[in-house]
Amino acid sequence: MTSTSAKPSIKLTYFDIAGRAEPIRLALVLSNTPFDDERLSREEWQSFKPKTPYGQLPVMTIDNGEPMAQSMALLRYVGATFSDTLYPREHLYEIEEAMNILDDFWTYWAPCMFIGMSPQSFGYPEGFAQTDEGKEKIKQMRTKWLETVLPEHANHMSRLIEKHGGVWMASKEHPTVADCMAYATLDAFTRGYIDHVPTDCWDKYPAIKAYLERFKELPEVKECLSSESTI
Amino acid sequence: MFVSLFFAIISLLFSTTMTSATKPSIKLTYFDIAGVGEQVRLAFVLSKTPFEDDRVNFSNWPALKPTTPSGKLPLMTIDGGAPRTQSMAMLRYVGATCSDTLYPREQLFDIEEALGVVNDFWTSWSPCLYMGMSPQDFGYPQDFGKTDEGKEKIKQMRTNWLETKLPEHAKHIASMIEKSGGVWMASKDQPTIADCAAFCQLNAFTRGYMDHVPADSLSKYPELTAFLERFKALPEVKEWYAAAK
Repeated sequence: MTSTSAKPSIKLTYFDIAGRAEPIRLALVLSNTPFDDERLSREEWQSFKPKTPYGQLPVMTIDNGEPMAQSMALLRYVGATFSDTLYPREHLYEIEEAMNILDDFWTYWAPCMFIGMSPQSFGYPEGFAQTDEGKEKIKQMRTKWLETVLPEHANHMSRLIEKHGGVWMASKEHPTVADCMAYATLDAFTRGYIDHVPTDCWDKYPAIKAYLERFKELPEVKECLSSESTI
Repeated sequence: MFVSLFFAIISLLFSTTMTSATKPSIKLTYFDIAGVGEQVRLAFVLSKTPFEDDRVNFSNWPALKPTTPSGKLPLMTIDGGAPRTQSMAMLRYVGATCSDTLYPREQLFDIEEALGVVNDFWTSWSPCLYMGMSPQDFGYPQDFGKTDEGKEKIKQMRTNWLETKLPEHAKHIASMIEKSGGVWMASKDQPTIADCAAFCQLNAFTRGYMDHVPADSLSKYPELTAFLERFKALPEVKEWYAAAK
């Protein structure tokens, strides 16, 4: 499946940020699959939205077919279809366990992350994040989470890397879709755009810090890292 | 060579398409509830794969917890190896390893899209579900769920979710079923692991055991209630729940 002769024409549509598309972009890059990295402005999104299956991005269009949605489905699909090493069935459990551990990290972080954007989901009034009480609550929740909850997840992720020979999250030899997801998630965490999350968060976890550096050094990634994307 | 011939002949005597010689011996350890373990149990059941259904009493959990890899259940032990974690990894593993039809690679995208839609439903509902059990995850004091204010908050959040969020998620799940031929979540012919996941997620909304979630919460969505009945009518599932009584 890695022959370049018959690869379809692929367009991945998302906002001009890393967000939920970045793992897919990385999988396409690592599998040397050319793709149209379409990034919509907020205005363009409004007119594009009704054409999507769930009113959400990202969507992927293959050979001008119907837009395909669900970022994690797209990640697995790209890994399985365009590479022999990104998502081989023989390593299904290791790869899935790693992706789900990453997902747990994000799930437990989510209330701290999204209380600003959608406070009502967590039982707070709309506009809460703009009040003094809301701002203080966000600061307190995030600071506490970093202190008391992050260590368990970080240690878990460090052990995953160590378990596979200290190289990748699910394998010694090759990065997999689990690494595309891990790099995107963990790198975004410390870009400095999330209030109260310091950019040196991973310094206490050398296995993770080294892992992120290692991923950035992959030749395909080095060439294509989205330097302007700010999430 | 004669051993494999022997197993091949034996396997022809079974209705399953996979030889029992190739299926690993698996123990699933979870609480004696549906929770996130039932979807994995259903994958075993649908693929007619014998498994050790190890159920832990809540009273035994505090002693067991520190011995587990991540302090959580379920755990899966494959051929007596080190226990493994993550229910969704288990669901995919069982689907891929124990069946030709539950998680075939050729249908990867459709099944994963369906799993994603179910996961979106779950993610949206989760804060309402866990506000009682772990309010501190959402910035509330630890025993908030026991206070009058907390109880009112839980009631308000759940009622509001059923009114404003359930419709959109129910519609997405119904559309998946329709798009796949009106029978299962990702296929017309055979249930897949996406149906195991969807069944468990939706069924919880018809049992009346969650405060403020009436047993008729899905009554406005006949495609979903029909799906639940259809799944329950599968011979292996029917037998599974009959034996559970």
